[in-house]
Amino acid sequence: MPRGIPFRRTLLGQALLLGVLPAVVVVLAIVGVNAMRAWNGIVTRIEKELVSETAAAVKEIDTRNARDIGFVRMMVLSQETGQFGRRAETLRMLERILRTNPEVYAAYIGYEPNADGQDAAGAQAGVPANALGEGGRFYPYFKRDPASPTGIVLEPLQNTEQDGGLWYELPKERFERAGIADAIVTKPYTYLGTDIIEYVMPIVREGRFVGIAGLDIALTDAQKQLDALADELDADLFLETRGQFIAATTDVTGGTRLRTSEVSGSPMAPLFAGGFARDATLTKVFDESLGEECYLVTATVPTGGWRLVVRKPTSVVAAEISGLVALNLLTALIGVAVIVSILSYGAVRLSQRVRAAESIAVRIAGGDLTGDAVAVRGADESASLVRAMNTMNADLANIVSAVRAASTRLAATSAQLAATTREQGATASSFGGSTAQIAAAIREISATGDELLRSVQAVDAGARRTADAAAAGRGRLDAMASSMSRLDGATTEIGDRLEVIAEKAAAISSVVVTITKVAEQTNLLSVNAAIEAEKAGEAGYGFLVVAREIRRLADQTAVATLDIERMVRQMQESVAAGVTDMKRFAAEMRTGTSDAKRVANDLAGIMNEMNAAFASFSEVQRGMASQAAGVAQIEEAVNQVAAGAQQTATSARESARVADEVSHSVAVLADAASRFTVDERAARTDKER
Amino acid sequence: MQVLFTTVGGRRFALDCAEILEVLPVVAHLPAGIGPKWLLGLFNLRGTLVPLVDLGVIVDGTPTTMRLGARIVVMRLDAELFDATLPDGAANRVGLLVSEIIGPFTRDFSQPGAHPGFAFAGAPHLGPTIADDDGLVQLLRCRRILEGDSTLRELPRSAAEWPQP
Repeated sequence: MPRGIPFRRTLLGQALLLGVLPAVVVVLAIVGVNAMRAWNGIVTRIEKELVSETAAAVKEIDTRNARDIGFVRMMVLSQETGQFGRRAETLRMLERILRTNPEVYAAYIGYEPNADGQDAAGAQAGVPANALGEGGRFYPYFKRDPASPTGIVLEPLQNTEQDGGLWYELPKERFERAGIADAIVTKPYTYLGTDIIEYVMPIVREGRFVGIAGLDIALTDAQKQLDALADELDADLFLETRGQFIAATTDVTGGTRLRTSEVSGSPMAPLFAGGFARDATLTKVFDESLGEECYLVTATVPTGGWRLVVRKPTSVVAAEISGLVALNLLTALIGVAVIVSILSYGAVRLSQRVRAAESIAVRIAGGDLTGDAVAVRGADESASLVRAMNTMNADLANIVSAVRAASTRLAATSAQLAATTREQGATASSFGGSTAQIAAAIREISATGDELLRSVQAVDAGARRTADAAAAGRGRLDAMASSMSRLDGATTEIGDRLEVIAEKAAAISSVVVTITKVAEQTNLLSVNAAIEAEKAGEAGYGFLVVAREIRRLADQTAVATLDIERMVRQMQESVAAGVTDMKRFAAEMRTGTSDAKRVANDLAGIMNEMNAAFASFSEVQRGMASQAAGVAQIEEAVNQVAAGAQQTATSARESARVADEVSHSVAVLADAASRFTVDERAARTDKER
Repeated sequence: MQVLFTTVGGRRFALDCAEILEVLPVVAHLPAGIGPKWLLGLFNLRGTLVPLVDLGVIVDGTPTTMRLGARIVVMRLDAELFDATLPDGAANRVGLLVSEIIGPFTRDFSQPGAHPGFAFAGAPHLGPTIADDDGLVQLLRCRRILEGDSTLRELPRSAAEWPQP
């Protein structure tokens, strides 16, 4: 943290103030608006849902009622279209309906007295007495009875006190007064522990009321349906008809459910007392039984004239919505926290790097270049800034080291320069003294030149004598060369003759081989002759002597040929040696001849050079004269050199002054460079480099 | 008796002229296939093929050096080594290759003081030894010269004895 800057002015403070704070404000505003909109939307949605679900439930109940009425209408139809009067057949149908439909608790048909004209017949086959009412009218009532072995009991219809015969009189009255032949749905009642509802319909033949048909059906399905709907909507439902509950999903009276009880005696009475708005609309009323405000939806079931009432406390709706809104708010807060932490991280990192760069800059400003490089990761501009500062630090350190080394060297050099200049001045002074000595030497050269001229004249005379001698020698060498070429011809001739001799010797040697072979054959012949003579015994003795003589002659011939062979070989060797010698001699002769010619040519060259030398000698003499004049000029030049040396000494003093000034400037430069502290290791490395 | 001298391994040996048919210069001969070491091959003696035997191998075990003085000594063997039906006694004629032939000379190998020679199996051709002015000389019984070779006795004697294919 830089000293003396309030936090809101620092880089981190600015980033938080200008980046993080606005972001948080905006996010919170968005979340607030969204929450409000969501609240309203959800309320609307729940209200619509309540209405639509109610309507759907009503429709379903209506469908079920229509189905049950369909049963009754089918019974009536079968009576009207031909079954009327067939009592046995009708009984079988009723029993069958009861057996195949478990939700049906009772099925019955009642004829007007003697409507089919069979009342007088009484009980007959297929029509037991139980199926007949007073006067023998057809009045059967099939109902479920667990006590009976078949589970089903047949008995005559009776007017109970509970309904007052309304189930028969009401349809008859409706048809006869208003001509309405529709089904009637009676109030529910409890039978065998099950809630039952009755459907009754008039049987009409030829425009006349002749009887009724009816079914008792359990309300279990309606109750189940209401319970399921109540769970789904989280609301209380009530089904009511003619001031009596058919089904309900809540108990509020002494632990019994509201079903099949009178509305007027229940706590719900006030709700139902004031009447209702239009079907399928939502109203808000204060329910005294709950002690709070409720949504109320009502709808009428067309078939049977039932009414469905749905009650849902507003507090339940509010609880649902507040849960959703709270979830939204939590998500938003987490988002804000993440944004703040990310932005803060970036801001802190940036401010750290800027602070690092600042510390390097402050150090460099203070003249300290020894600091190590600050390590930094990342590739953004702030990282590059820190790296650039590091590089700048290193480069500055190198430059200052170089300046220091250079100024040291420069100081040494300027000192050397001053010394050299002073020395030069001294030398120039002494050079002035030397010029006098040079003048004396020049005079001596002049005298020597005269002496040299005399010597050249003597050499000239000697050379002329030598030229004469060379001419004489050349003549004699020419004569020798011609003798030598004659000798060369003679040796060649001798060589040819010697080769002829060698050929002859070779011929002799082949003859000797022949003689040797003959001698050998002769020897062999004598041996064989001796052998033959030996075999001839005494008779061959003389021949043996002859053979021995022949052998001796052959041996002598062999010895003689050996001698000849040896002599011929010696002769051949001699001739070969002679030929070789002659060849070598001829080669030497040719070499000698060419040497003599070369000597003669050399002598001629010498004579030519002599003549050229004679010309040079006279030039030398002329040169000597001009040399004397040159010496006088040199003397004058030496005097000028002495004056020049004087001037050099003066300028050397000037140079020494300038060198002193340079060394002063270098001292100033070194002082300036010493302001910076440099890592000596780095400086040394730089020098070594 | 008349003898011819020859040398094997620096020692002098005498050949009886009575046993010799003739002496020939060395002529070309052809290798005779696989056989004993001393059998150099066959050579053409005026139209008849005759075996050529190396005397050096038999006497000393070293092959005779071929030089200018080398000769072939033609003789008959006591035993008939080959098919006796051959004409002109060719069955037992052989040529002995010797390094040289000197003589003839007259020497007596039955004179008093002569050494009768050593009798041992495998060398029936070695005869008595005498001394003359040039040193010791031993007589070779040339006609029995091949009898010491055991291999020879197992060779087929006649073409008729060869197994027919």
